[in-house]
Amino acid sequence: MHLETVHSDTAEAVHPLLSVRDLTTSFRTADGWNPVVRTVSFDIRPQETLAVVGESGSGKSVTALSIMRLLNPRTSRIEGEIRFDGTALTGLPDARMRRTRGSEISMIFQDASLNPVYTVGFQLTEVLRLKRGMTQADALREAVNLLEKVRIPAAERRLASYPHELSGGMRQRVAIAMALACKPRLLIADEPTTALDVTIQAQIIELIKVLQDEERMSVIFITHDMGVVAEVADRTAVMFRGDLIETGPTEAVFARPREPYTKALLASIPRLGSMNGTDAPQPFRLIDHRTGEPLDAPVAPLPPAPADAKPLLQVDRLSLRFDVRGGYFNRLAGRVHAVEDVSFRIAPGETLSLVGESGSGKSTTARAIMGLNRMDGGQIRLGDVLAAGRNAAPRSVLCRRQQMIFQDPFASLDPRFRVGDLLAEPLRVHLKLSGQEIGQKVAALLRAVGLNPEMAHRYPHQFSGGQRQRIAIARALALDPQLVVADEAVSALDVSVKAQVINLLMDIQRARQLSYLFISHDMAVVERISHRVAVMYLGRIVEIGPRRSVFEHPTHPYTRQLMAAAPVPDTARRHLRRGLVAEEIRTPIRRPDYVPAPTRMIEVAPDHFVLDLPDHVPAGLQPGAGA
Amino acid sequence: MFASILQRIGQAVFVMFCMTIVIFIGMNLIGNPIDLLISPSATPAERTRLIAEFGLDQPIWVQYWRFLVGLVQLDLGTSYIFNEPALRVIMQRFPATMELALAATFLSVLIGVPLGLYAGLRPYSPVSRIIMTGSILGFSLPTFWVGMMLILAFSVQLGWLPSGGRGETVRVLGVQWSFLTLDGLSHMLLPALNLALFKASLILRLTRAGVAEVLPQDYVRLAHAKGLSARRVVFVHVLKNVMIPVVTVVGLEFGSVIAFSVVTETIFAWPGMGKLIIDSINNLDRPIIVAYLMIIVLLFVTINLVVDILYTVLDPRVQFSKARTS
Amino acid sequence: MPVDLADPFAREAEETARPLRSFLRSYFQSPGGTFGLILLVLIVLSAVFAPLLSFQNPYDLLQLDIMDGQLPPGEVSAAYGFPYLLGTDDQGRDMYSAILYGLRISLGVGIISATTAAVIGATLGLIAAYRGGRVESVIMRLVDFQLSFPTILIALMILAILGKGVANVILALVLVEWATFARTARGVGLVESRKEYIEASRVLGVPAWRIMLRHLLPNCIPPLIVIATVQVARAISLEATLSFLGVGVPITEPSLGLLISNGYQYMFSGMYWMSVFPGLSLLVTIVAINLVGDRLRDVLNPRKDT
Repeated sequence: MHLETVHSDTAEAVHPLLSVRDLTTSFRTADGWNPVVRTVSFDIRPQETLAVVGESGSGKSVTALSIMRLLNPRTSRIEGEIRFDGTALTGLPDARMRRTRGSEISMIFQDASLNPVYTVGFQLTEVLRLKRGMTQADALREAVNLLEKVRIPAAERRLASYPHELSGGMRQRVAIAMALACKPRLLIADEPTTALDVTIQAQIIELIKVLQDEERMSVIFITHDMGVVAEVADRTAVMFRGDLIETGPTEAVFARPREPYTKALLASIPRLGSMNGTDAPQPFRLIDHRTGEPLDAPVAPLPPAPADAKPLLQVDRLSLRFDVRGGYFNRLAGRVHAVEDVSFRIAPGETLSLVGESGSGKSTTARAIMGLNRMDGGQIRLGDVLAAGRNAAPRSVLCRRQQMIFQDPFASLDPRFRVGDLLAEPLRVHLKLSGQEIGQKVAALLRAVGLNPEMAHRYPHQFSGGQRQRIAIARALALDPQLVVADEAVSALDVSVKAQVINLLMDIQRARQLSYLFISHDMAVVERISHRVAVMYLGRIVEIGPRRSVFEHPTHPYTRQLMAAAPVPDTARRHLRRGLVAEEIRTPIRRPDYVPAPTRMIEVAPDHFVLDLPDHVPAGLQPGAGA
Repeated sequence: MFASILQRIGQAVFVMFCMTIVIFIGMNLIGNPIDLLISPSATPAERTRLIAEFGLDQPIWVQYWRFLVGLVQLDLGTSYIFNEPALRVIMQRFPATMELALAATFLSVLIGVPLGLYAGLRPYSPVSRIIMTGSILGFSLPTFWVGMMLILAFSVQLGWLPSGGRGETVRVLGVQWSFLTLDGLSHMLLPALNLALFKASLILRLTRAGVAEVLPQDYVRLAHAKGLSARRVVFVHVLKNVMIPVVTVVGLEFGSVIAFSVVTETIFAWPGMGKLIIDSINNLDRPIIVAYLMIIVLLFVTINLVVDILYTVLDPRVQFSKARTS
Repeated sequence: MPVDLADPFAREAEETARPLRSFLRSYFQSPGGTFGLILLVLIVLSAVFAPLLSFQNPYDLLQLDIMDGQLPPGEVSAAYGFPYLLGTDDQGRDMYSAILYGLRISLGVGIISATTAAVIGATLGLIAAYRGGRVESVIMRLVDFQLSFPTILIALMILAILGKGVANVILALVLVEWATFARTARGVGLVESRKEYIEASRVLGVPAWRIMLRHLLPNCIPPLIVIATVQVARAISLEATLSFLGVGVPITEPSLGLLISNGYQYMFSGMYWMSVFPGLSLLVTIVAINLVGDRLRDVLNPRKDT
């Protein structure tokens, strides 16, 4: 039924540049050929951007690799027809296909796609020499042009760099330069920004948009992020478990999704700004991906945190540094000021989010609170005891008051323990309970996180990522703690599952009056779940306050940058241009003799504070910085 | 870079020093040197004189100091059997061992790398299966047994190649070499092959594993996506990444090749240091054993040092320890 | 309450995997591995029951008949009437019986030394991984130092100092091999102890000894088993080499290596059986162990090669 919509879509007069018909790609398994992409059809017109969106296992990357014929022919089989500018790629001899790759169709990948043992210059000139027949001298000149085209500063010097000497964002720029080397008519970008920080992601997306206009090429943009889709795509194709289930103009797909899965997917995306005008956290209204009907009754917002309660967690002037050694005799070369003079408190029943990009010190702070990192200064109090440092209360006391949920649900559960034993272990160690009582408690915990108690005898590998994270939450609840630290606890999950787990966390908070310290890089998720928010940058809190105040009136330049960079699933933002910057995320590495300036916070609104330190402003926004 | 090289040289000197202690103590544990050195029929007066002459009446640390001083002056004592300075006895046999070890290393790379590449690029082909099974055999078979079988097959049964000795040698730069004459080469082929087989299997497996690891990397995919020919992808983008660990291992294993030449030299009666050390152990010729051990330790420490430095040069990522300060 | 029904990635009720059964099933998928295991079981059984399977006690000089010396395979003992299946050596010893008894020594030396080295090395390696700091750097310096010298050289040095003997050979092999285990254990332990499940246990207040024994150790075992298997084969091979060179086991307790060595001088005069048959037994033993080890490597940790 969705095939008809595809045809009506393409019946327009414009001749498609790429046309895919009934593409089926199968992988060889022990039980024969297993199709991972089934009868997928779509078209791309010249200079158009098509987003292929889907969660893990949807077959979106395999579709791209099938077009490029980059799958191993021994273990994979491609059926159907792929026509590029009228030529059928599927039947092309290998040599012809090779000529098409790189010069007609180019591709960029997620990350680390540059060869680590060759310089940037070598890898760029290689394409120019071999595909465009340039001499080495011409190729070098052209390579500099290409690097300038992708806005790499000091392009000429970069030619001698090895990939590991560049940041992730710069590497991705080089990969794009390489893809543009032969002026392709179609660029396939396979999750090109997934491994990058939000502000860098925004830069790369912007760059691809600008280059598309400049080079007049078509783009297939493969992503899992609906926000990115809304920002880049003219048309959108939604994939689910190997099927292309819905395709159409991006505005139409977002405004009037037809398929239940698309509806469910759109319902589970946090939209930055959707909480404006409210104070309390608000669970998602989820939709069943099979029926398209709402999953449960509308949920009320969480109660606000008590305003005048004694704080449960109190972090005062926490600082944490790591030495960087190098040079002669392993001298101290500098220090990473991972956490610098950080103070905040969390009330009972309250969620405080620490938000920031990589290197901001948010996870280090969380780990220090859990006693997993030593600390160099400051005090962490949990109720009436010290939670970390030399005079901290014993672990047997602390572990019954504070618990942690980790990022990777595949690494945080011991693969050799049954789920029941995983949940029972803390009970056995700390509580004097009979075997029967333990069994009952384990069952109750599983029920509390929405799992069937009969699953207790299974092993972790028999669960999906979302289910595993539920098990990890159940384990954190086993000792009935007052504070739960969630370190990027939903970041590794697929969109639709992420929303469910966020709802679960809020349900648990409502039922148990828990406090959360929620660590995340995702502004939209933070907006959903927090009572209060602290933005971290270069090891310091640059802005802290009630969520509503911070999100509606972001005051620190970095907070504003972060909010502007966050992709929003709003198709109106597609023609928004942010301007081309090539800025790196700064690192908090300082010289050994660096003395941190004293913290000065300004209260800009009730309980809403902003750091007033000139060196904690992103480079491009600093007074006197160019542009 | 320069600092880390200095640091490694310092470590190497320290290792050498530690080994002198280990060897000195070890050698003093082998029986009572007095019984070995002085004939039982000697008179008590003669005995005392000899003990004083060898310095055996001194405290142990004085003896060790003398040993160290001798070491620095390249004096490692006189062989009981050959009645010549131990160092000279060993150095006479050193070129033969080096020649054999170099030939074996060359052969092992010649066999291991191409076969490993093939098996890595076509993991499911029947030929690859045969190669990999063969490498298990090469890995499993004790060197001495393979040597015996080579002799049994090619010397005893077929009579094609000689079973022992170095054959005709040519003097170049004051050293006798076998590989410059046809007869010498024919003498060298079997022992070199024998010595190479184990290392060839090691290199083969390492190369195959490297290829299997590199092939699924995104940068190989990107190289294909750039439209490069399959040959260029393999020989430029895959090979260099695979060869970095292989080169390191070949270097590190060179010392082990020299050590295992003990076995091969014994079987093929190759007149090198390996055969000498076995004979000396059986004859309790202490100065030779000590000198041999010191030379081997020096050799090893040098090889490790060179490989370390080479590795830093080869792999750009290794230097990444330098930190950027703001 | 959201139920996992709406999780598009929820697995359909999968039957509970029995770890041991699924392990055995995947092990026996390879004909090579299966063949190797069967062979190995037969070899171990024949070594254990050597006295029952052999015609004479090859060490009991009274049972030997010097008149039967150097007989080719198939000749019949004049004094006792049993056939010399694999011929006799120069003293009239039945090679078949001598091989069975030699197998006992070779296997015994190999297994005892490899397990001892495994226990010592793995303990030190895991402690290094879990404790870190100075403990780790001392242990690992020692390991690096040891591993920079080839096994045969260290064994030769030790035996040159201590002299021949089964116990000395075992000691030498343990000293040679512990470092390999320590390095592997520390590598695996480091990877595992950085995983979040170890931190999760710490956060839950599980005592350190319990984390090491119940969480860390079981997850490090598979690669150690693989290494141990390969090391048994290496130990047997090294012991044979040392004995062949005349610095290993004494003549009174001949292992396969010493049998080969004894027969070596007769090989040139055409009496191949004295050397070739013990050699073949050694070969089959080592290949069988390595086939098993290779298969275990594929099954237990499919991502690690070489």
